[in-house]
Amino acid sequence: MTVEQDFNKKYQELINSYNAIWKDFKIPNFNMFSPYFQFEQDQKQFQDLFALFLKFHGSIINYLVQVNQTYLKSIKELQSKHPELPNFQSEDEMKEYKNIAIDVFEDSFTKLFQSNEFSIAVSDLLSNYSSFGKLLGNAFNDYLKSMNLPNRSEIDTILRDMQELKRDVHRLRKNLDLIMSEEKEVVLK
Amino acid sequence: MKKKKLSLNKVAPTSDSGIKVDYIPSKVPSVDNTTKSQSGELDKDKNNDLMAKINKVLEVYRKSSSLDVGATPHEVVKETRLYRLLHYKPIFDSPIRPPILIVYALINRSYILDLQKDKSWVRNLVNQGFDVYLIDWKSPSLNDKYVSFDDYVNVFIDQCVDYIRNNKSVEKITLHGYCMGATMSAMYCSLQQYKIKNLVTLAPVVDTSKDSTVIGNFARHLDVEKIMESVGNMPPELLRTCFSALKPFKQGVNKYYSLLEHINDRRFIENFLRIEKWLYDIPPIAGEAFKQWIKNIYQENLLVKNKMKLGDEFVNLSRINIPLLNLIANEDHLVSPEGSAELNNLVSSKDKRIMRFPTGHVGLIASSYSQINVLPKTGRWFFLRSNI
Repeated sequence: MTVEQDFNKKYQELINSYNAIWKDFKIPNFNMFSPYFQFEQDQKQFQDLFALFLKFHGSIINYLVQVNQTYLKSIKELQSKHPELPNFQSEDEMKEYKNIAIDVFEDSFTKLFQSNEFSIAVSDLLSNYSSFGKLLGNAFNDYLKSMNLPNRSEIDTILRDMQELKRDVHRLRKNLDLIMSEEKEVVLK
Repeated sequence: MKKKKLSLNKVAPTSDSGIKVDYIPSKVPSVDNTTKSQSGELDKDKNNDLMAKINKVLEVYRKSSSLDVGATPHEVVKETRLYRLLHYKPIFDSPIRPPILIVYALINRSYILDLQKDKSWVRNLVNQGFDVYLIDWKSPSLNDKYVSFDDYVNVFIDQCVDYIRNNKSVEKITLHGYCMGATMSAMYCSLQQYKIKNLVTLAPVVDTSKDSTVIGNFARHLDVEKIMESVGNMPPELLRTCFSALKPFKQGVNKYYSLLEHINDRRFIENFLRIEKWLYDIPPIAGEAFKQWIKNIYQENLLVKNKMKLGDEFVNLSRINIPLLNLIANEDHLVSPEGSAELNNLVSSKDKRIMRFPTGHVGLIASSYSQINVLPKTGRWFFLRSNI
């Protein structure tokens, strides 16, 4: 056996012995009781953020494609209605061209805004943007926790309860006024 | 032809309609059109004319500091964190009863109803002898994101109605709403009709299944819960974006061209600037109320199905049997006229009427047409159902 072959054989044995060690080592369980547990949670958050960012990017592209297609369609239509460029030295021709252009663009973009596809694209864009903001907020919650400060959802709970209490107070006050007025009538009688 | 130097006079600030403009630009000198040169090139004076107009438009925008809006004399009779109740000074010692409470919408500001002296809905009603109150909604903060329609209808409007009834010693008042305010007025009437004598609605949002507007289209697909969870209250920037999609070129672009053309018309400039101020003066909308508006009214159309819940009760428009006047703008691109007209089919009033006018949503209340055609008829309707 040559020196090279001998080296390769020994190297292969070494790799096999390392594989034998890690074969029975279960990494998922390791995360349950080690500092890696929080790291896995944070990593998942980043993965979600990245996936959402891609979705958001896709919805922006979808939105822009529809707007640009409408713009190109409008330009084409304008050219068909007024093939020659206006004589920019004549005020009347410029006005006429302006009026035609505004009508053409108005019709095209109104059709776009009234279409289902565009409103779905806008809704996707806004909801992905909102989810993005929410995920960023959730990531920030860890810092608030470490500073012993309430996060937004905890404050929202208080605000919701306060609003309900205000409504209850208004109703109680109204009922009280009603009872007082009825008592007054009885006394007067 | 001599080139004239343009002088920008510093004029006294106030005008008839009370607009405070730091200076009014002097008229652009008109150019004789017959001086076109033989080569067909635009005459240099015409070029200067156009540039002067553009400069004056920019000056008007830069220098017009404070605009007088909501100038009809009034006092604030009640104020909370989320609304003010305005009482307009009656012209008679004993104005026509019952008093009228105008409920404005949660979108934009209420001074559109009192924009300027010659186009003021409120002023016209006051001049006809009526006793007019107006609920002016204030901007909600993030603390108010859970304020819902239950609060707006059963608490705030109810507080104002009770205030007027106690203050004026009347049992019932006339409720008069515009746009979303008209919808809230109808909801209030269905729940507390014993306090209301007459109901007048201006372009109410009722049946959204018949809505073919751009706003209706956007609203139907909006994931409003997710958005409100993220932002809290509906931000003005998003509303502005939505409204800019309505007639983006005819109103968005062409209006500036019209301003250029009418730069010498003082009344036009004043009116234009006031409308511009109102268009961009958009407050946020409380998150919960906006969520209900989109989800319950636009997406699920619960109002028409009598399934919209406010507090512990369902809103049932068929319970309304008081006199109803429904004013509709046929060219309304914000609220579908067919959807508004449906209100008359849902109520069980015997005395009910629809009046249709060939105007837009804002033109119905803040235009010369409205002063001449809409208000006299509305005033007559009020008068015939008042206590004289």
